Amino acid sequence: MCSIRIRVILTFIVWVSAGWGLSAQAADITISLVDKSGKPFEGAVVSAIPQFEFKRPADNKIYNMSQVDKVFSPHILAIPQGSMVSFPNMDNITHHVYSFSKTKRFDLKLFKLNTPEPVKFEKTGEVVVGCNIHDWMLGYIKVVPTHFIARTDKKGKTTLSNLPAGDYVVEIWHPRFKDKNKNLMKPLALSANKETTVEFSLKKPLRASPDLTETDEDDY
Amino acid sequence: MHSLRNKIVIYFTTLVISVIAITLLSVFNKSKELAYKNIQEELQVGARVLKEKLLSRQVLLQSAGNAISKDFYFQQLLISALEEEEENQSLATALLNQQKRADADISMVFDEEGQLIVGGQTELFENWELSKDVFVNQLSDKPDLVLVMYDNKAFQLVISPIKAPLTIGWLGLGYAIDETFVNYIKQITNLEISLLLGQSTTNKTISATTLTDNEALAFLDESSWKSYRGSPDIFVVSRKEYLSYSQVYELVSSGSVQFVFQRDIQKALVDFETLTALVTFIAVVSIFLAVAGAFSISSSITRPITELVQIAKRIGAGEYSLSINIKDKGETGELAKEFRTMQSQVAEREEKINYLAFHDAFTGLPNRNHFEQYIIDLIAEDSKSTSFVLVAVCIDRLREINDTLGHDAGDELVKQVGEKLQTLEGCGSCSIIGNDQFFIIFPDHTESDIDLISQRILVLSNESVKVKNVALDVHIRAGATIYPSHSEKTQTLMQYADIAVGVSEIKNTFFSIYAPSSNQNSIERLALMSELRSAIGRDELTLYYQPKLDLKTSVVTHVECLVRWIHPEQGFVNPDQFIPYAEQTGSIRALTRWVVETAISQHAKWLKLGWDIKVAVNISTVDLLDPKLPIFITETLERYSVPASALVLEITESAVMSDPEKAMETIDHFSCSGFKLSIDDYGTGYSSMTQLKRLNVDELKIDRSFVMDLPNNKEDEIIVRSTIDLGHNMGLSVVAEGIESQEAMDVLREWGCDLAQGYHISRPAPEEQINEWLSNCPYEIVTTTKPSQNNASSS
Repeated sequence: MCSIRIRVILTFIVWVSAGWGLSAQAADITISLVDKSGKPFEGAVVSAIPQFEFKRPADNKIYNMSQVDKVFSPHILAIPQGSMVSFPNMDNITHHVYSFSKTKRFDLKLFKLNTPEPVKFEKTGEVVVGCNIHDWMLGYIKVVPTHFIARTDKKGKTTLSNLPAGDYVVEIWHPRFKDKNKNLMKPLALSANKETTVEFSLKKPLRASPDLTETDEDDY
Repeated sequence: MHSLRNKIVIYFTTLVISVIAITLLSVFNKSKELAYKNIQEELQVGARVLKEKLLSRQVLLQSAGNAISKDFYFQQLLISALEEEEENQSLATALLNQQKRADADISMVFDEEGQLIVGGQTELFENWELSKDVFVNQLSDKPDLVLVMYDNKAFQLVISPIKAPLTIGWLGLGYAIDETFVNYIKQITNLEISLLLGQSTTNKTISATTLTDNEALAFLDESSWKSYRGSPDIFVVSRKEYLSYSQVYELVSSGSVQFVFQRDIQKALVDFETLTALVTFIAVVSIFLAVAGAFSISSSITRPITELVQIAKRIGAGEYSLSINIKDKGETGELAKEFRTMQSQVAEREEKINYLAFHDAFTGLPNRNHFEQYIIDLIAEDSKSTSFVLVAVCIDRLREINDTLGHDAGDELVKQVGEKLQTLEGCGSCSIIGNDQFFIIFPDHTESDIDLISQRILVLSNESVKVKNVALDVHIRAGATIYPSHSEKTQTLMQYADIAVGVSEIKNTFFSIYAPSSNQNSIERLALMSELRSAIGRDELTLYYQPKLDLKTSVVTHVECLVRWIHPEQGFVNPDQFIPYAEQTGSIRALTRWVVETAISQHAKWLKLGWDIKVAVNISTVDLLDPKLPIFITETLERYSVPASALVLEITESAVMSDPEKAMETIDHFSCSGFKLSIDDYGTGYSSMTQLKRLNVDELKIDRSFVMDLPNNKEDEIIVRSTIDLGHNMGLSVVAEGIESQEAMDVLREWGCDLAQGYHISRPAPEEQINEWLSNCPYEIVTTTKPSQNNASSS
């Protein structure tokens, strides 16, 4: 219990000092995203990866990917590298959450009430999460090497605020994207106190959105 | 061939056979067609069964594939294999294990992009190029059958996605389509099934088949295939025919496989053959029954007809006593009934006709036919021992009775006479021949019985016959001939009997027996008669003249003209020989006309010489009945400018007496025409005083039989003298003929006889001689008053 409290306090101190330290030279990045047909795309994971020596503040936050009504919630979870993710079961049935992704392979054996230990994601990349019992359950965990993470809104826009000035690579990601990485990443030099806008436009059509609802076919 | 029965039989047999043949043919064709259709349907059903079976196996494969692909540990192994090559072996082992569990024949795992990672029989799939699209297609609602081929083997494949949870690879699971499978389908469908690989005809191979090795070998040979409805669908092998149906499945790679379903036609036709056999049997039975029926019915129609034909033939031949035993209620029965009626009616009529044929219609007496038949029968009985007498009986003066009492009376008389004749003792048959003649046959009578027969007939003829309450004397003449002594021939016998009657007539006797001499004469006469007419035209006839002398004045006042026939071959023919036959044949008319004309012309000639000699011409009974004769005489007289008074017509007393009424009428007619008439042969004709009184004649000519013996015969003297007195008393001149002596002439002159004629004065002589006699005779000749002729008359 004590260690946890200390850690929380420490985190807070780091966060405050950093905010303060950067506040003088902080800047915002506004990102907008349209698909191939020009429509705003919602829900894309946007991350800005500093290209300079940047000490991320310590972060002990435990992310959650719950199982609610046999659906992973959230469907897409974007976390900074090294974060912990917990998979609490909100249903009153048993789930068997696993991932065969190279980024993180894990296998949370059948569990119901007792939430298993959180999983730490140390590599960057995508992790496809499934349930061995319910085949349609599908979740994505995007592990990025930054904590500057945002999601596009309905207008396909989002803003990363209070970023220290410097060079960044802005990357967008979504499981439906088929575009090559080159098109999904953009380098950017961020100047202090200056709002920078990055616009993304997809060149390839989107993948079909996966059916995340229960299907008869797989109902066993 | 043309009999009714044959026609009926042929018609019905042909009809039935045609109908049945057409029916059979249609049944055969239709059943075969139906059989083929059934087979085709069976084949199509088989094809569907196979497809269903493949699809159901696909479901099984899919289930198994899903189970395997969702196995967590299998997925883990796949992930491991994907990450580390050396882990393939673990996956392959697991896969083989799963394949065995699923009872599948092949299995394989592909990565997400469709690259084969491991397979149950990895080496089999080295050359596969399956695209990911094929796999994705398997996720559609209606996945196709995935058929793959390798090393001449076909497999049915199901592709399942391996999701963890996104697709990380593909699992292929398959069943082989092998002999086991096709045999299994054969069990269900009862069809032969072959799986054919390869596209080109030359490159075809059989992957699996239910056929035997030999059959399979033939299967690939094109010559084993026959066309059916345009497609080579009939497979022939070792005399078996299979109807075939193909079902093509595309392979996932490229090309296709072909399932060929086959059904033994013969086996399928077995049922139809049974049906056909049954129909054929029915047809044969029908034909047999139809033919038998046609025979039976036609026989039932034609048998009575045939019988009736036979009966009709026998009726035609004259059998009327046949019993017609046709019991039929239909038309044939009616016909038979009519036949019976006809038979009896024909019999009745024939009896009547027979009767009429053999009996005289008027008198009902047997006729000539009857007579001839009788005589034929009689001769036929025993020609050698039989002898019979044939008597011809002729009724005299029947005409007289016909004329006075009518023909019915005459018929009645003939009938009664005939009936009487029939009752004659020994009479076998009495037939009427002609109007007034009978032929009577006395069987078993001979020449010695002739007198007896004659007596019997005479007795009968003396009896009078009562007709119409008038008792009539019957005058009959008879002539007899004897079989076989006179002749053995019926016709000849009849002729002889006729001749005998003729002899009786000529001789004016009651009964004559045939004598060959009379026959000789009669035959000659008959021959002459035929020549008489031509004789008149050929001047073979000559008139002889016999003078009549006026006894008081010794003047020749008349000549009697007598016809003489000098036959170029036979010489002199006696008038007695041809005159009666001339009368019978009617040539007397022409003869009389010739005599009249010649006499008148002679008179005219004499007139030119200054002699007025009257000519006397004999008129026969027939002439008396010739109404045109007086006209002819008058015309001839006018032609020669001769007065009627120059002609004397001499008529025999018997001629007058044969028909006195008619004779008197004619005589009156002649008399009115101015001709002098003389009764010739007076004293032989039974004329009564009354009749003589009524006769309008000028002269009596006493028959020579009374004159010839004068003056010696006292009886004749009485007759002649009384006749002269009678004649004179009645105002007639009297002529005596047959004067053969001066004494006779003297007594006749003494008795007051007016004219004399006879050999004593002159024989009849031809023109030249009589002229000479007239010129030199001691008598005077009446001369014409004409001065030019005075010289002649005085000389």
